[in-house]
Amino acid sequence: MKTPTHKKTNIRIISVTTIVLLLVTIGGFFIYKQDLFGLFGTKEVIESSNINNSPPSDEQIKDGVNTKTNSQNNSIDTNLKVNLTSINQTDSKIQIRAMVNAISSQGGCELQLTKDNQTITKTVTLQALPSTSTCMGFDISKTELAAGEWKIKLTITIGSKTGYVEDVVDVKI
Amino acid sequence: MLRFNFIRTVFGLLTIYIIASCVVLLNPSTSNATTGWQAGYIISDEVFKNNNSMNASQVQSFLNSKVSSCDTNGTKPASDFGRSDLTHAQYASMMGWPAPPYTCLKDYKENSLSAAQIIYNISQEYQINPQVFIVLLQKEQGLVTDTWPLSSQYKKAAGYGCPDDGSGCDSKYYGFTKQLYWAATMFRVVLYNNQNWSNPYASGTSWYSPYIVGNNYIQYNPIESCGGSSVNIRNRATQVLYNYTPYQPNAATLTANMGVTVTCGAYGNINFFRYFTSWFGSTYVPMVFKTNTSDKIYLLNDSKYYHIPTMDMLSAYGFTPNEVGVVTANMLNLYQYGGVLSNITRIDNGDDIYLVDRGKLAKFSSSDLYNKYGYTINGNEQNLSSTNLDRLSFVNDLTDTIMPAGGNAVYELLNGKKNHVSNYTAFTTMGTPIYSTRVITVLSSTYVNSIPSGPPVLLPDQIVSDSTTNDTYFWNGTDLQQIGSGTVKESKLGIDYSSNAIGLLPLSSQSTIYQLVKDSNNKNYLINNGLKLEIPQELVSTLGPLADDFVSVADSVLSKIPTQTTKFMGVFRINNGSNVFAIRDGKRDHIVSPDALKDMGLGFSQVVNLSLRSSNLFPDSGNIVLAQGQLFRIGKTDPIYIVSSSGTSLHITSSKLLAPYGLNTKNIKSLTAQQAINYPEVGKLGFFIKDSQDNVWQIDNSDQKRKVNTDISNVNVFNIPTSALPTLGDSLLSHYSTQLDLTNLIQVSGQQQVYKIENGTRRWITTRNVFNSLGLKSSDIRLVSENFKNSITIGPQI
Repeated sequence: MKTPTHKKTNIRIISVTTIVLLLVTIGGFFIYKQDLFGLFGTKEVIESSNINNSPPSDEQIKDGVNTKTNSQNNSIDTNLKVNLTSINQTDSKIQIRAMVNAISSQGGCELQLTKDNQTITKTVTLQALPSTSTCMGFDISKTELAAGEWKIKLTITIGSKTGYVEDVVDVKI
Repeated sequence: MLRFNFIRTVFGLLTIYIIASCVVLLNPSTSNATTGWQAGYIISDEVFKNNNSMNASQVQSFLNSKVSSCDTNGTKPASDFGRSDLTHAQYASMMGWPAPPYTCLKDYKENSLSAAQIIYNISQEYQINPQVFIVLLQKEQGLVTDTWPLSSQYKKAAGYGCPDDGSGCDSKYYGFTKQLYWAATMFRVVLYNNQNWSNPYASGTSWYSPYIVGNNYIQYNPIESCGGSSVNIRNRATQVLYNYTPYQPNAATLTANMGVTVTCGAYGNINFFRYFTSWFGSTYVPMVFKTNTSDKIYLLNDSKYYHIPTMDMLSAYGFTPNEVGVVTANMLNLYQYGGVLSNITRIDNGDDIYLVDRGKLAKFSSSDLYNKYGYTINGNEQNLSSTNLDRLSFVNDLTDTIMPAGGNAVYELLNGKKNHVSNYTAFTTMGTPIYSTRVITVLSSTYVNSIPSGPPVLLPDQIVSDSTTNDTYFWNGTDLQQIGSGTVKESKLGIDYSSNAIGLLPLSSQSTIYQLVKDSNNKNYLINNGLKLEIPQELVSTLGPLADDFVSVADSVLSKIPTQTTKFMGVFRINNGSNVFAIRDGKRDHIVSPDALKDMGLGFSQVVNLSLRSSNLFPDSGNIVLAQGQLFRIGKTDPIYIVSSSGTSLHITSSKLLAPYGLNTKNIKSLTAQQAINYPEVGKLGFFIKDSQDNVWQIDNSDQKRKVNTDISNVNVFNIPTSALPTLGDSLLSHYSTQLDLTNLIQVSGQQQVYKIENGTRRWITTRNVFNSLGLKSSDIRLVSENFKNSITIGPQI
């Protein structure tokens, strides 16, 4: 006869303890999130002045693993891919910038501008960047160009590899 | 059992919940949000350049915090790579990666320098934020969080020289220190726009960027078919990042959690932003901020910071106090101090000048308008860069007619002052052009309040009040005529407009309006009890000196005050009191009886009621107005006088005269000598008096009068000095009943003797026969008093 009573008492103690712990947890979480007592840093101090010395998040760790894995894998793409990153027109000149998916300072860039039967050709060398290379700038004076649409063809050659890109620029004089 | 299972289940769920809560508490930094991400403005130049953000020790502490336990020997399970059945070393072997030892970044050294020290040294040498390098090492190789970094990761620690074609990194750039140097070289040359560059390994005089500050086409991925978009790169630090990693995140990347791979995703720049934000806070200095050592608030604009002098100015720029961030004091060193912030500014050194108010930019369309707002162009106007002014929106040009937000007052600006358009009628009828047809600029009430007040725009013919002095004026459309405060109350005029700017209107040279006024027809009025009481011209002279105090007032003002139907007849009472007063020489005399009023030819209906204020215009003279027939004496001593007429008195020389006149000594008033002066003695009272028509009357037998009939008997029979006889007022005489005319035959009632008056004597007609023989008639005999008889000298008997 004593055993059931003892069991009931244990269950009651466990339940009460659980509820108390639950409330304490929720309360603690609320206090933390709201920083009611200013224990977790001043709200007004924006993060730019903070250094977060807490451990990295799971997502950051996971991202780090991905980064590490990817950095160890090489999948060679033999094609040179050229793209025009900027065609900027000022009152006096046309600025054309391009990028290629290889790193080299030994290659060359050739820019052809064609309108009607006129073709203007410019060449520069390549400059290596952290993960790409860029032509060392085409700044073409508008005095060389007539107003209207010009076809652009930019070819980059690195060793035996060649790639090019074409576009159109509407020159406004 | 069922119940026990239920409780056990509940307990189990609660336990899980508590554990989950604890996990949340222990890992507050779960953010991988991209809130604040701007493809064209990933990080500000200033934050990028902030090389003082951390010292070497802080870098070391930070690196320590990110790796709690380093698996140097690779003995821990490779569960992080999904192979818990293998150790890290076994996994590396399987993948063909380098074997242990694995040195974590926090422990890594090159040339006896720790990684932290190398990072710090290079950041100082190239004036780059060391936090940028930390994030770079993480986003390129995951080195910061890696618990077992491979030696190959250090060779290409910053990913410098590793092309996107996957052909492998260029060994020319291998080495932890070298990687950071090359990265720093590129950062420095682009960030500071300096073509000359050098590092311990190479140098040069030109450096080109594929991207520019401006519009660029940036792909989402090295694979061209993944697409891209135009990005307006707004600053050099962002240009640096795209030069380093030439891809922007696509929409899927932005919404995916960190560490999750999406199609066509590129993570370099978004992860730079995410790591930096998570570990070091915002990649921007807030537009408005204060330092952790001062309460001064600043606005950041391009490369300058401006002191915001007041919270109103903060509000003018559209910020709330909650938006003021706090930065470390050293951040100020990265910028140039631009001075105290003004709400008047040029943008990008343009010709236009703007007012900043309510978070908006409104242009002054002309220098004339600028002057109207109180400003003068001097070429030293504040200039702000449009770069950081996205917060401010451009709105319609300013006008010279303004109203405060949330209010309904309209002001016209002139010479730096705001002139209040006083009411709706003025708004719809005044101004050139009319105010209601103008474009009205709504400004903050704070700004409007800051403009000093000018003279208000008033309709003509208004009663206005200066709220500062409480003075009241009449505005005729040109100038102000003051109205005495008492007069304002007395007239009960309503105040049409009140303002502390009333005093700015021109004052009239005309006298202040008090209670005595006259209109354009020279009609005189006393303003009294909310009415204007006309004072007939003939009465003005009774006002004494006040007669000169009537001030001409515009009819338009007087028309606001109703006219009292009763004219002022010189008599009044005060606040409906029982005492009645008469005005004489500008002072008031007390009329002591209704008869006295009557003597003046006035009735009670002509007594007007004056307010106490009005009555005070006529100070008490101390004099009294007595009715005719009123007895008085000076003090309590004889002689006794009787008021005769026109303010004169007669000396009653004998009390025997009282009875004939029906007078009673009980009604004698006691006057002061001063009061008595107003009743000068003009004669002595006797049995004979004159009326105003010079008729001679005999007063005898109490309340009776007899005319001395010259038809019957020449008055001279009584020897009456006619010319010397005093005149008794007609009104007094009217109190006496008229009896048959006096003859030359008198008899005292109850006595036998009949007397004939001859030459001022009385002669006893001794017998009837004598009477008859003289041809006299009994009907001519007049009964007189004994006193009257005795007043006549006895003559010889007949």
